[in-house]
Amino acid sequence: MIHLLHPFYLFGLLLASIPLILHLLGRRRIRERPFSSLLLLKEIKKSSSVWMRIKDLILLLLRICFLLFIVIGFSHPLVLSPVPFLGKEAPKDVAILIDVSMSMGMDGLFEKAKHEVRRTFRILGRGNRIILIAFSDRIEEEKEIVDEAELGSFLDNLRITYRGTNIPLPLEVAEKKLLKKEGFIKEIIIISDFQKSALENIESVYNIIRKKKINIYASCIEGNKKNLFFSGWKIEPPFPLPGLRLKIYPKLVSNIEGSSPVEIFMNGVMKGVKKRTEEKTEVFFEIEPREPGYKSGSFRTRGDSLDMDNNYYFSFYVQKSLNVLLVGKRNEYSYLAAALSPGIETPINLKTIEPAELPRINPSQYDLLILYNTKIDGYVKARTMDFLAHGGGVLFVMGNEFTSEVNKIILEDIHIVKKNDAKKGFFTLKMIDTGFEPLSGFKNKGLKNLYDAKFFQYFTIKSNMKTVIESKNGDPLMIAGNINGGKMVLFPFALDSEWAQLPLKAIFVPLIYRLTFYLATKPEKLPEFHIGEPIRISSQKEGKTPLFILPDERKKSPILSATRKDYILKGTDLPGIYKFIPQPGETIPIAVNVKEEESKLDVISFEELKLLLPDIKESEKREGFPTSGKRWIDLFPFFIILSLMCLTAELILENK
Amino acid sequence: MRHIDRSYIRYLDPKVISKLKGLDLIARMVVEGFLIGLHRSPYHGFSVEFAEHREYRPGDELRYVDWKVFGKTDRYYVKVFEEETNLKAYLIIDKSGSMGFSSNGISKLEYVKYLASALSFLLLRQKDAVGLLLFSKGLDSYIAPSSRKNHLNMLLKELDQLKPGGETSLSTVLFELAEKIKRRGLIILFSDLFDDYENVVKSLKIFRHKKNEVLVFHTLDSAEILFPFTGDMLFRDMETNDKITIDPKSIRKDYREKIENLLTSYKRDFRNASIDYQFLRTDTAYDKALLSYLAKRKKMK
Repeated sequence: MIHLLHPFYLFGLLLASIPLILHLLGRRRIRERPFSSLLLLKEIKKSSSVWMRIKDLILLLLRICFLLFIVIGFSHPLVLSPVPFLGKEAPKDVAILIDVSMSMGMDGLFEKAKHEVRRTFRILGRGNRIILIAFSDRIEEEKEIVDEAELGSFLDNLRITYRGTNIPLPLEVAEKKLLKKEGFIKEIIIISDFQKSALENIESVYNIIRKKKINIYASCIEGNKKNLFFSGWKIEPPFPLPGLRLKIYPKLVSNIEGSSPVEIFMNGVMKGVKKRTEEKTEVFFEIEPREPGYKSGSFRTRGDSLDMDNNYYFSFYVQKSLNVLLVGKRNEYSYLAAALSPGIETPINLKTIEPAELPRINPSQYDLLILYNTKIDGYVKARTMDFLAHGGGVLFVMGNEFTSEVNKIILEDIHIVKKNDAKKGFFTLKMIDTGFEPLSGFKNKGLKNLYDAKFFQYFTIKSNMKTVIESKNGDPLMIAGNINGGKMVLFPFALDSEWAQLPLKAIFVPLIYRLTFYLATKPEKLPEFHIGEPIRISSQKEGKTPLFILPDERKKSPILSATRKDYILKGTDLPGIYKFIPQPGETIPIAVNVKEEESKLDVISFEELKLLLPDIKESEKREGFPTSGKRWIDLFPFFIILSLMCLTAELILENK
Repeated sequence: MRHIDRSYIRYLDPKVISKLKGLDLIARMVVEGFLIGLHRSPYHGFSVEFAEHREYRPGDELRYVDWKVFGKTDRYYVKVFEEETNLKAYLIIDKSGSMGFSSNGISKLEYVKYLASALSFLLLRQKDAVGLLLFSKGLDSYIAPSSRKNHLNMLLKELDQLKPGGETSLSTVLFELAEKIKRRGLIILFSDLFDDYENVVKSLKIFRHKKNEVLVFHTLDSAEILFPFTGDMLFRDMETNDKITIDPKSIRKDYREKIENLLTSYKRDFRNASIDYQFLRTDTAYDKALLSYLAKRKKMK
């Protein structure tokens, strides 16, 4: 089998026509020479002319062959040698891929990787072409290395990034670079900790490369896998308001025995330290923002092998007040209104209206709609469904208006059913542990005396929604669920006189508050991003171009998206708070954190890797490159010698 | 002490001669140069009949010094002899196109012109009658032999106007001339002899048959002998305009062999026919030709 290394050189075969043309032209250009007498020449001519023709043809043939062989030689025809050769003689093109993703920042891991690079370089020896590619989830650096000095300089300047890992990407890049090389032996060596998340879709890329006769070696760098990292956070209540005590829960993941400290910083100032232990895995910090506005902070832990993921950044918005719309008759809801009146505990902005006024109100301006003993039909129903459709929450307090609504559908599938076996008596209330957030922590403490609900002697409420408080006989006393995309809690405490005394109980105000904050429309959460992801943030503000201040205090202008509605900041290489300044005087903190999967240190061993990529070879165990094989022999010198022979023969014949 | 002015000798070189203007000058220079070079030679062209005395000049032989005069005048005089002669010499020059061939700046015809001029001068100086015949395909010009003093001018004028041209028909012309020349004399032929070999030899034999002395100056250019050309060439015959394409390298060896054979044959056959044959290359000095003439002249005494 013949393979041409530079087939495009064959276009040079056109050169072979040159001698032919010159030959033909040359024939016409024979010099004329006057001579005294042709007597003698004519006698000799007969034998001479035959020889001349033969000589001309031979010369032409030699000149064509000379150019043909030159051209073929320079196209480097390669044939496989039938004889195995020793590897040291073979020229090699090697791409060494070194992982500089965050997980390689584990204690000592990066140094091990660099050591492996140096070892590999030494084994390869001189005369080989080596491309070093540093990668994370992108190509960080790439350079062709010639000597150890260059290698040392390259490795010294290499830094671990906060980014994730994507091994198929550098594989593809290395493949393209190697295919451009002229060597006959091509190899890729991957030096990484081989996280599972970095190997997505690697099989297809690997197989394509293998088909192109490129050998792939792997060096699995192993290290201490003890790690602490944050997988997220949450805030309670989810509707932060000024003066409201907030609980901030960091989600700390640990595979370390013993306790781990967690610190919280707000605006760079440490606000508290908690210890997460194996028994007490959930820790929280309480903060009480005094002013509305954007808030940002971070958690910090320490004591593991990977320091780079020990900080976690967050930001949230504290709204000035919570807007509640209470619809009902003024003489009926007074105690509920009093419970929600501003100034008592939290800044609630309460608006009360009669049902008849509802059409004139835009409910979307409110965070919560309370329907107090108001029948849901006609325009009330339309407004309520619209409010729910926009993700709003509705607290539906049933009162005596509904005693006449027996066997009627109140809303959706909720209807009142009359009991045929009505029994008088008292019922013990039962809180059902459904994970319903507003009731967490109450248990039965505050409700145990509330059992005399006469309504339920004769009627009950049927619904597919979840019952979260029920009487002992199974009648639902509070049901909750999602209707039309919004949340709804049905609470029939005003249905009879005994139940109507609930507001007098100590539990009432906190329960109402719980329900209020549960149902209130949550403020739009500030977007959070991961390293490497572009920050995309909408801004309707016209005028001056917004600005980002990066965690390292550098300033950078975002670009406007194609739709001109969003601003995009690319290149989030550092974790931290990115300050988005849409206009002077306004700052929106955007938290950017490292990727969780990069912190998990979910790595695979070489044996596991071999199951995934069957003929991958272990780089660290071999001593030389490569041990044996068949060699492509370049016929360049052969053809050049042939062409020189043609040239020599031509010169000899020419002078004969 | 004798002093010989050797500057004259250089005029025996055709290249030097060709730079001079005027055939009379050329003839004189050649002959003077030749004679000066002859002082030790066994040949001398001086006649036996005393003509006059003249002052001794370097190069003159001592045996011709008149010691009696020296005894009387105390000065050296040499005796100058004048030969009584009735020799008629015919200079027959081939002026065909082939004689115009030149590879070194001097064509064969030019070479012959200078040589004929010198010979005319020398012959007339010895009171021999000199005639001139120019031919190519036929006889083109004829000047009857004479030994008058102004005859040299006529000869040189004719030679001066000599231009190569026409085809050679050497044997035909020689046959014709053999009929024309009644009185025996010295026939001096200048030609490249590019004609049918046998006819040439045969025609010259007729001259011998008629008791003429024949001297042939076979004149060729060095390129005609060595054939030094390279590269494919189209050779054009200077007489017939025939053309032939040849790679000179491929035939050089054969050509040289053939021309060598031709020269050898001429030499052999002329010797057998008692014809004096002198081969001349246009780059050889004239003394060779003049010596062969003198040798011939002496033989005729």
